[in-house]
Amino acid sequence: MSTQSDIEPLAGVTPAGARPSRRKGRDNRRFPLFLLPVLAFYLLFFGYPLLRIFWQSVTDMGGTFTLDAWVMLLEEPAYWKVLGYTGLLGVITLTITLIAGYTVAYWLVKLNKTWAVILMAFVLIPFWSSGLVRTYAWLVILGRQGVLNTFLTDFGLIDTPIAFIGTNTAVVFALAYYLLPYMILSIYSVMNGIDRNLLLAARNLGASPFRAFRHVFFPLTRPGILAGSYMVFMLGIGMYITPAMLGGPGQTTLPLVIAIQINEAMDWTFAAVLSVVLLLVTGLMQLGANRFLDFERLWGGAR
Amino acid sequence: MTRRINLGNLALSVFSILILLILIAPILIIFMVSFTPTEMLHFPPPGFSLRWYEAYFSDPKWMTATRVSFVVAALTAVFSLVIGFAISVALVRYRFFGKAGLRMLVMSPMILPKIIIAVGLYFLYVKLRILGTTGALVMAHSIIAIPYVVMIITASLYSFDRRLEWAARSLGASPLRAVWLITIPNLKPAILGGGLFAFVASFDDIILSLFLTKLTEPTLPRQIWVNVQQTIDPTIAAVSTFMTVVSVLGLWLVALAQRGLKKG
Repeated sequence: MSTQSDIEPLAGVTPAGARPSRRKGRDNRRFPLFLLPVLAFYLLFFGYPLLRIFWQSVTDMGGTFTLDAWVMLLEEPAYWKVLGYTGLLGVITLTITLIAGYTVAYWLVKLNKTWAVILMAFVLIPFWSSGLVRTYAWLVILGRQGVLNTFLTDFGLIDTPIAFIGTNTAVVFALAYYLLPYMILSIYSVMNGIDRNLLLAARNLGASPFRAFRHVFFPLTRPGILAGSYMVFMLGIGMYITPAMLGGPGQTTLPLVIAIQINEAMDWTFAAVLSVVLLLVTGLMQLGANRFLDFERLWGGAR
Repeated sequence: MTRRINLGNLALSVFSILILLILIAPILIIFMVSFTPTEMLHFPPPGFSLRWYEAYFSDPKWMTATRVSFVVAALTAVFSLVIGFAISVALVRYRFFGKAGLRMLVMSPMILPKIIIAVGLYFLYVKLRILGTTGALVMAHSIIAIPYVVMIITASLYSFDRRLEWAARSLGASPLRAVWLITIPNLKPAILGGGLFAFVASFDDIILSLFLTKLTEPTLPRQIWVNVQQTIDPTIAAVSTFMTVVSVLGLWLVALAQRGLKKG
């Protein structure tokens, strides 16, 4: 954080009981003891559950060590298909949101301030609404007796309702819809901070508008693209409700299989194996992303 | 040349406006169909009626879910504020071994797929025999709400002038008294914002609720989920509209508080 200013204590004002010799600058160098209960909370409700998933993935319900569930994952091609489908869904969603999000963010940044603020509501209201409600809305629109089918039949464009639910199109569309605000906001916040004079300078030096965009503006927006893409992909592959509500048997993703293992098959071990896979994928991505992403700025700017 | 650029600009505008309309349309559609007088979902609704809101507010099942959601969200807000405030102070004002690790630990639930947190907590809660209790759900929601609280409060702590606190202490206030009388009142917008954010994060959650609540005492999103599986019932549209109003209002207030903070 660069906002940390170096404020020197007022001359003559020293905190009662403070030992100036041990205090360099403003930071307290002792370990904050009040963190101990906080750490205990995280250990029990976050650390333990995550470790338990790893442990559960190699033990059966009786508690004995077994690698059966891992072998099952490796040997059953159906699960590989699920993994592949989940990844593909993430990539397609990412591509759609990136194209749509970049365009909209670019357009909003070029608008005058008043209009940009007004139109931002179109992005923020969905962003602030519950994901469940927004997914349910697509069920209402795309359902057999939904808004779109009624509209099309009323105007005589179709005779029998089209089955949108249970198709890849419905899932991809609703997923992209859910994640688009994240992309727009990530890119917009970066674009908004770019000095326009740089573009003017490039134009003055004889660059065409396209060249100025490609060689000056676009490279500067890269942090926003990376941040948005990372977030959209991570949220996309971990999304449960969209494929569950709008997909059919052909749209089974990794989170769906995990839920089925727990709620229906009661197979904790296999649920744990699949969770470990998802955890490893996201964990590795987060480690990679830590190098180029500043998460605090990312979210601080977005909300 | 100029013509081509104008055409490009036109295409850009049309495309962007279209996307923005698609973004808002589903919410407007849900809002409108919730007022339909008919048994089925009709768009545009053939009339105006509040019957589905009546159905919502007179159904004990929906009312239980609404109460559970509000209670859990309020408790989550309070608990996340306490934990989040402690973490924020540690991150901003202390220097200690493992600080970067603590930050990553606290922030990671924001990116981690929620279903993983849900599965892990499910295992833990079954073992502790607390699955389905209010307290257990509040702890779970706090894990996902604390990152937002920490983000908002650290930002505000960084810009807080500590000399005010030191002045209080030089005038004889104890450290706790200085924090209580000087620091906390100054951080009011951030505390309010963080609390509201935690409230909405809990109120909107579906995944943790699906795994960690009892069917007899579901949260509002879980009750919606259950009903969606059974029927296309306009009551769900009414409940959804209600939920959207609560979340959007809550986060809009957060934005206002943040803006007030920036202006000083």
